[in-house]
Amino acid sequence: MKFKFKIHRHPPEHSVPFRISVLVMVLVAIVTTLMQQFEWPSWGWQVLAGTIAGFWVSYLRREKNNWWIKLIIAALMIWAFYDFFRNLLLNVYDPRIPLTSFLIWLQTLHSFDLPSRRDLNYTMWVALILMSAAAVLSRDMTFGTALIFFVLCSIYPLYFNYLCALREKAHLPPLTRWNWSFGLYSGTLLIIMTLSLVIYLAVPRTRRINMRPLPMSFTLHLPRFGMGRIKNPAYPSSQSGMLRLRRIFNAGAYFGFNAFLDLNMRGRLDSEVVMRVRMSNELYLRGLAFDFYDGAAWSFSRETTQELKTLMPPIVAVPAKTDGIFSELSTGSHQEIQIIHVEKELPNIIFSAYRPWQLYFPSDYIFSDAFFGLRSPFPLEKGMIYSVVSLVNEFAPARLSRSKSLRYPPGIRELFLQLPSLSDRLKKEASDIASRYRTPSHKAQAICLYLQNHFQYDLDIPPFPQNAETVDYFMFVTKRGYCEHFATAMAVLCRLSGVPARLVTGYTPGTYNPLTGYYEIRNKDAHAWVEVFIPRFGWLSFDPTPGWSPDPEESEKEQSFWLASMLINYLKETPLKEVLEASARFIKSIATPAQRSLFRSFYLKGGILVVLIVLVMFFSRRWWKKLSLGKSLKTPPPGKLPPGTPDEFRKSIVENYLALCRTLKAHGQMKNAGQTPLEFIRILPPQLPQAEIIDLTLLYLEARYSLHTMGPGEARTSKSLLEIVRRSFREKTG
Amino acid sequence: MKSGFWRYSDELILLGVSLFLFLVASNTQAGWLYLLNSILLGTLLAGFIISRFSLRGLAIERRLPFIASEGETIRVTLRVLNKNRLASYFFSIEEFFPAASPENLKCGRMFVFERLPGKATDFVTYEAECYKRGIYTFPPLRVSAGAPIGFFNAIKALNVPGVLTVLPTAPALRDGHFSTARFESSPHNTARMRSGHSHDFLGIRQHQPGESTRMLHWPSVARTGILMLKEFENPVGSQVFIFLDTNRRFHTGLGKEASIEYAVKLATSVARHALLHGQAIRLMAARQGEFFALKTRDLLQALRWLAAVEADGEMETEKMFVKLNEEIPRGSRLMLILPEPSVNPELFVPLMDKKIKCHPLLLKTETFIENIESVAPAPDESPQQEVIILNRMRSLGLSPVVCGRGDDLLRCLREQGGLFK
Repeated sequence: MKFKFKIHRHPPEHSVPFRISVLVMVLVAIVTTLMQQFEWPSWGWQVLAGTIAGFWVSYLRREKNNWWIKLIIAALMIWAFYDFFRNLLLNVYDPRIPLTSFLIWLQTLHSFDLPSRRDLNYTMWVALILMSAAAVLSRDMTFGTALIFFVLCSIYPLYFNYLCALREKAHLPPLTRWNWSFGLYSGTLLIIMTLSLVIYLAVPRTRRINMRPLPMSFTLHLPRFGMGRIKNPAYPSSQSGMLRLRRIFNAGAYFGFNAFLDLNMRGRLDSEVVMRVRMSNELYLRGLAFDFYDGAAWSFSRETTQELKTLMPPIVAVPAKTDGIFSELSTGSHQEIQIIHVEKELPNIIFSAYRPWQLYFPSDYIFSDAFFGLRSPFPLEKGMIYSVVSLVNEFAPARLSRSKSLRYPPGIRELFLQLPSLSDRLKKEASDIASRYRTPSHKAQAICLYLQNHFQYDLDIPPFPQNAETVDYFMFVTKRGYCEHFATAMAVLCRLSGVPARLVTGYTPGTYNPLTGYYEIRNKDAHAWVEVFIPRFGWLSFDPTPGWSPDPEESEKEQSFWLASMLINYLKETPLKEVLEASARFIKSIATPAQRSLFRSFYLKGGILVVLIVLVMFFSRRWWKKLSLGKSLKTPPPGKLPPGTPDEFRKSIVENYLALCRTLKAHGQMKNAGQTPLEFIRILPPQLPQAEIIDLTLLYLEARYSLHTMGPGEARTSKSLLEIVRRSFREKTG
Repeated sequence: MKSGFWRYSDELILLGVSLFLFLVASNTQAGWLYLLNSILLGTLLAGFIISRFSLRGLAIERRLPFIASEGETIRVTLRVLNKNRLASYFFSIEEFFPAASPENLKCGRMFVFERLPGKATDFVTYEAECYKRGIYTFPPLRVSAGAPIGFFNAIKALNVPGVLTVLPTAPALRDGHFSTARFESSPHNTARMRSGHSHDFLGIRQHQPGESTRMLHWPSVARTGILMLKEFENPVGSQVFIFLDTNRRFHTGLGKEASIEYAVKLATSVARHALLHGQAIRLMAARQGEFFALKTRDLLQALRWLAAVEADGEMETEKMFVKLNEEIPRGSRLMLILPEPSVNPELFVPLMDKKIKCHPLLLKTETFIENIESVAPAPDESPQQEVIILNRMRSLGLSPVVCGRGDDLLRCLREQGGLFK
């Protein structure tokens, strides 16, 4: 039995410009991917050098049988695969880095075996995959620059790829020159960018994160220490409980992430990014909750912490009994995922949306304080990643309003109604604001709105007098302040109204970057707000600071990431506002509430957009015709004149030719019936006007036997040729 | 070349990748992936739009000789004009030469244009051999463009009318082959037509020295002062009738070695020889159920007629002979080129009764069949049957000549030389 192995080999690619352009594209992709990692890997330069060397070797050996190179590559790829799995097993919760490293090595090894254009095409595909991986890894705007560069570099290899294929098909020699029209390049780039922008704006974007398991950094197995005490690297002296640190403000860190919150600290926090968070909605990231107010500062009445541990992630966060959370309060909530990338060294506080449920944290244990503040056994380092699944309450306002219960769980009133001695005017003020409302939620909302509408936000207020009670001074003297003052005032007023409240510090959602998909949280986004306990519903957040949403429902409002919507919102600030509002009113008037709700669905928006585009294309007949294939004309039967062809010019040419024959015949050159016109002119003596006779003969053949349209020009030409011949004969005989 | 759905396989893969990236972006909220995805889709869309734009405004003309001979290499020039103001990039034109040999017929010639500036013209020329006689119509040009990055290659069939007539060639009969005593020779070695005695007025021509003045056209003489002779259609004796049986049921073979090609070559040789010696010819054949005839003294016209002959006849042999009997005058000379299986000697009897001198040339069609061993002979086609037919024809006074594949056509014609005696 004979076996025949037929190895299908593609023709080698000889074009140097094509190879160089692919190399540049690949190098850009590799560098971009490497840059997205937290730090440049030690093998990064080796990979780049190896890729360049590989391309060089591939070009030199493109026509040779490289079986031994393939063997080496295969062996190295097996090693790379093993290395990938080894790294993956170290941290299965973040496979991105091992995967991108594996892809990069794959690309480098493959670059040693690129003989044909098809292999170079595969390389371009891998470069695209690398860019995709880098896009997933990227957290900041540096990827945008790299992406632009990648697009600029990738047009060239695509162009060369197409041109080389075309030349190969036409059996032309390989492309060796770099010449390309700048006009075509810039035009192509402009069209691509324009279309990309339109698509980017029009494509609907969902708001849900659907990933499991959630990413987290490599798990650190550290010995237990500290028992969850707060460690703030920016305020190292505040490690022991009640020590107050006055007037040493650190602009690079929020003073509220300490064991106490001094309400007389003044200063502006800087704009350094501390975290980048992926989350579906704009959620406040809670850090610490304080219950004890002494008139000038907040602190914890209890320093107890409980350890939460697990063998395998996630860690399930269990609140302390003093937090007043019971199982029935978990109904009516939905899951919100936050993936947090720490960009700067932070205190050992695990920031998350309230109420955290599952944590994917790089430690097998964490701590939870008495007020459900989660703490890490170590400060959060730059580059750390952790994820949290929170159960966020979504209570309808009507349901909240109906809750008139004043039955609080044990300990809530004792802890969260505590107040120092306060002025009578403050107590009266609280009574005036909240006494007309019967339910705790209404009272809290009234107080919140009151503070928002009657006081101003100001970061530059001077420190309060040392003996002044903060809330009293804020409400009756300065009437200005910042978030801690507003939150303190609300907490005090709520407590005065009999509603348990506590002050919470953390971060606001920051600024959403639509390009990266991250919320960028900066130092200056550190914030303080209030949590109010509503019987049967638990702790609800209120933010009395002007400019922030007071309604707990607002923070859970569906966020549309559809950039077209953002564009429309932007246009509302322009003179187009009237047009947009009139359109919206019209739509509202004709649509039922259910239809309006459906219309807001982004799926329907996307579908409508697609349908509109299709309709425009369909009805744009002119464009449709040009896109379609050319219509074939009906070819008349051979020898027959096409319909509508003017015969008069053909007849004229034929008659002129016959006249030529008669003229020649009269001068002894008779065309025999057994000769074709071409055979006849071949035997004519050279002294005759050969050129004119040949031209007229060819014109005659075209007029008689072709489908070409004969016009007056051809007829005149035949006439003039005949005259020349006749004149020539006359001159000879004359 | 990929066709249909698979023509866009690369683009569809990219669309699939784009959809995958969109799903990943949607699930992970990776914002940059949305942008990368948009760029990918934008690139595909740009390729779609630009490639179609490149095809707009292209006009092509073809220049070629309209008449060529079998085996002759001709030069074809394509003139490409860009009517747009902007340049067109990376388009190709594929031309299929219709008169090429069968193995080259499907191989088109591709011409690549990297750049054709706006309002500019470019020319491409190629040479091609005319393989076989016939009248060929050029198929539509295939113009394709995928500028500039090769996505969504646009293909357009551009119809550029073009007809090429490839005349049949045949071995030239020499005078020595036949007796041509009836013809007078002139100093210019041209034969002169004699005025016939029929009533068919053909026209007037100048009187040549030595000719009879009996048929002078006196009105022209009075008007011009030049002796002008009346010319009549040549009488029966000076016309050669050539009949080809093109019945599709009997002709065999492929390409240039088909029996119909031999028939055409034989007819071409005879027609050319007759016309060369001043005789008019009448070519007759049955095509697609109809009887076609051409009476001419123009060789080119005759060759064009012969170029168009195909083995597509559907007329029964008996009907053809009846038609011949009707068409051919009494006492004429008729050459019949027939495929052997169609021959029925009795059909010649009415012709002979009319004193029509028949000169049959029989084509041994079985010799033209490829892989003759695989073809079972028909019951009535035994060698004995052939002998019987030939004997019968001889007994009727005919002189049939059998010509097979590979035979010397001149020898066959010499054997049938009685046509010109």
